[in-house]
Amino acid sequence: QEVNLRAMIYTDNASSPFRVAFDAFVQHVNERGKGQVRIGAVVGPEAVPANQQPRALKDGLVDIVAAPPSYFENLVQGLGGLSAARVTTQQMRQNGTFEAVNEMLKGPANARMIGLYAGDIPFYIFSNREVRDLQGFKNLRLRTTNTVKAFFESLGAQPLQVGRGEIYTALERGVVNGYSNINSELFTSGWVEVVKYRIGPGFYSPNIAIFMNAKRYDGLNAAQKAVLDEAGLYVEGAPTQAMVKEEEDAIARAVKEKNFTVIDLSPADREKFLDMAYESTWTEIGQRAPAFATKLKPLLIGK
Amino acid sequence: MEWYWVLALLVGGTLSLMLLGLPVAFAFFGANIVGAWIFLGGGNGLVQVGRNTVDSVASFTLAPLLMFILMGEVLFHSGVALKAIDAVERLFKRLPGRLSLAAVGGGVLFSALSGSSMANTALLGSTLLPEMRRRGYHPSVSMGPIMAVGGVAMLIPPSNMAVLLGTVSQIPISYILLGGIIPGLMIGAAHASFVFVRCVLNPSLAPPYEVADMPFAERVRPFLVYVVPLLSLFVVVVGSILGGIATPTESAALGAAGAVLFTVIYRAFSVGMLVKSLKQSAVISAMMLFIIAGSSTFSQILAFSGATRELVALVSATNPDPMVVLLGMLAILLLLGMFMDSLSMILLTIPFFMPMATALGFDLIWFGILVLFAIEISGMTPPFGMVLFAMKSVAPPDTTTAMIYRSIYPFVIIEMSLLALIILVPELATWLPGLIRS
Amino acid sequence: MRAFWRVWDGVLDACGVVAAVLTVLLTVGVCADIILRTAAGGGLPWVFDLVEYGMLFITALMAAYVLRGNRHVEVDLLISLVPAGLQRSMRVAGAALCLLFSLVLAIAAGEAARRSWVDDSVIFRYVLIPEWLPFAAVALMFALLSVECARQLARRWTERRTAGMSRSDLF
Ligand code: NA
Ligand code: NA
Repeated sequence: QEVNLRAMIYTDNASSPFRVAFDAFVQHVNERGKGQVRIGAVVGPEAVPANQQPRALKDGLVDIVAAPPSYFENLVQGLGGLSAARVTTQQMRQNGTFEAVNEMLKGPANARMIGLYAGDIPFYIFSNREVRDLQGFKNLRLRTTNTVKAFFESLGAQPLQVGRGEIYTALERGVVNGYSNINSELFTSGWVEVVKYRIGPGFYSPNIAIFMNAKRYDGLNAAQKAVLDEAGLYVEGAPTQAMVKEEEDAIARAVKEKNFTVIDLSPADREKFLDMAYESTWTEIGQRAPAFATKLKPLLIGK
Repeated sequence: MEWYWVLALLVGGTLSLMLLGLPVAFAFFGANIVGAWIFLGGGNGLVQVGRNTVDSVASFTLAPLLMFILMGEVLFHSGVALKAIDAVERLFKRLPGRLSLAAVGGGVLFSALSGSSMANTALLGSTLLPEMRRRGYHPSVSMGPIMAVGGVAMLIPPSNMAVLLGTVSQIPISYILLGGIIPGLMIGAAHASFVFVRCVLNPSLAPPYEVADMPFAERVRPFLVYVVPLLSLFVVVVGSILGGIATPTESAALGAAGAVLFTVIYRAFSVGMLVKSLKQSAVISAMMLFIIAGSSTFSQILAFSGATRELVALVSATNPDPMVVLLGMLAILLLLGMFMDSLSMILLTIPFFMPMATALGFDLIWFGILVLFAIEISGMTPPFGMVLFAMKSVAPPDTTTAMIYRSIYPFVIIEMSLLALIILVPELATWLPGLIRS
Repeated sequence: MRAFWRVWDGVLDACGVVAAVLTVLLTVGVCADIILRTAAGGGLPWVFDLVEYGMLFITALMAAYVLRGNRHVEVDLLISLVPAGLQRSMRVAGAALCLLFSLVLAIAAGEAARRSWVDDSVIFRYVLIPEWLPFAAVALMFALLSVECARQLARRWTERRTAGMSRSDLF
């Protein structure tokens, strides 16, 4: 008896690397799971707004949701911390992170994390100002999301909330001086036209999670569960490696074709930068969601 | 359930409820309740509709709606706008249909500071329509040009829709913004000529009225006093964007504040005026946001059921000839536009259109402008058109929907012809962006 | 009953006042953010959230107010063409349907708010916002609309009766 699953993703961008990798997951399930599990057409925020997808999953309107863990903060406070990890996804698989997260997801979100991909890709800060050291971030106006809010504040930058659709104009006109995202957004969102520098090192990671409705998962037979679990492992491998390559190609292309400059902070500043990045976010999570921080910070930071 | 039955049920249901005379938003909500129960899944589906309503309204990108309406209301209730229009009239003393021409001219000017067609229509409608009524203008040369030129706001930068389209389609936003300028000006010129010719042929459409004969200096003075400074309000809004002080959305707030400052300078400020303006803008924006709440949930349910995907897939599967596919895509937009708002249309169709356009080797800037233009036109095609609703909400209470529909159709035909012209002469859309293309 | 509707009108008027105040707050908030970050080197990033939820509350508070003034957009294409008797019946049916839809959605949004209340969920934005609050705003909107729709239904029902229509003229 083949089970039909409905899947949903947070992004409306059909050519986003996160969507492409998720499509690879879906295709993998449908190939390996013939006669057992089938995932139908993937819908996005045009069907359920991204902010409301976690509750749609909890209520069983859909069976699978792919989204950054921070989207599930309303159901599990602190979950966005999965993006501020200093260990690889493979290490998380081994050190008990998945079990701990699934334990926390089960009750409040009625969900189970069956995969976590894009973990090998870092975020960077992109700017149209040349920043050579930590001091350079002072008073830099940076477009800010919740994930990086605490970090940008600790850098002394001015956080600004700008809607996604206005980032281009805001950068072009200088309302904001920069943002943080992955390399390929330079081209997929056209921001390469309005920023000149990438300031490294990379930090955090998009870590897109594939959540499944827990009751639905528990109701599957062992073979069906195995198909999904295996696909979860698969998407952390080849599709994520393909994304890593795309990211490297994107920055190389920007440098070659768009007169773009890659800046690496000095080794001393680099250490400080990374410590600030992870400490600021975990301090903030510790205040807001102490239970989550106590349990997961040691696993995710690796110390 | 087959997708065409889904489409028939939801679209048919909404249309029937509309025809029964329910407010448009309620017609959508009715269809949403049925659709949510069937496709999202019973009670939980309804609860989800309640949740989704939040996201359609609580959106920063919609803020200019509220603030540009406030700007218009302040300029209107303080009498500043009327004085400006009188000044324009005085300037063009003998022109037939001068208020209509002022509407088109003002509309193009307002387009340069408003990113929303609805807001533009509401602003022009609330400032110009009462005066046109008083002067005995026929709806076809009063409401018609106001609504038609309202859409230009979406083509001439700043434009919320261009930015949204660029984000979804990944066509560089600055190209779409620049590419929209010439088509926008073309629309303005075409509508102005049309209105002018009609008023020349049939003067009763816009009854000329006695204007005291006065020396040139006295005719120009009010223009310098009331219109030129008003243009500085555009400068505040556009300048704050260009100068990197505010995002296009935020600049609307500066425009509203600037309008209040204006009334103080012109000694037209009063607390009563401000309270009235605030109440009116809350009323008009709530009415618009309420429709957006209903229609966005509607298209969400259509998307969830798979009906829109199937529809687009079906059309795209039928013919490989690029021009036929292009015309098909524009036809889909125009057809959907009869029932849906621009934002939902972009979100629904672009993910399917872009791969097709790329595969067929279209110039993507040209294609983007055509899409934007088609969406602009669909904002004024009955029965569901955002500028039509915007007009209905600011027009005098005795204005019927039929009057609005009748007054818009010549302009729809004009814009369809312009759309065809841009299909035939792509340079009209691509020349300006080409200047900054490396 | 008349006293109730007098109080009700007061409630809607109060909603109008709150919405007007919110309009001022949003506009001034955005301007203050722009001015502070330009002139003082630090803006008010939370204004973004204020504006988004402010828009929601303005809509929620004003929807019924707008309905009272018959300012909601209608397609009166068909209804203006039919005979007066049928027109009155259509108006009764329309008001009844609006009441029904409002009630259903008020309950649905109320249930969404209740679930978030029970979960004690918080939305993680620039400022932390209890998740039930926006859902409660939607529930409030449809609850206010339900009462106003009930008044319109009663009014149209009376109009139809006093116009001397009998049931057989209905269809
Ligand atoms: Na514009
Ligand atoms: Na339309």
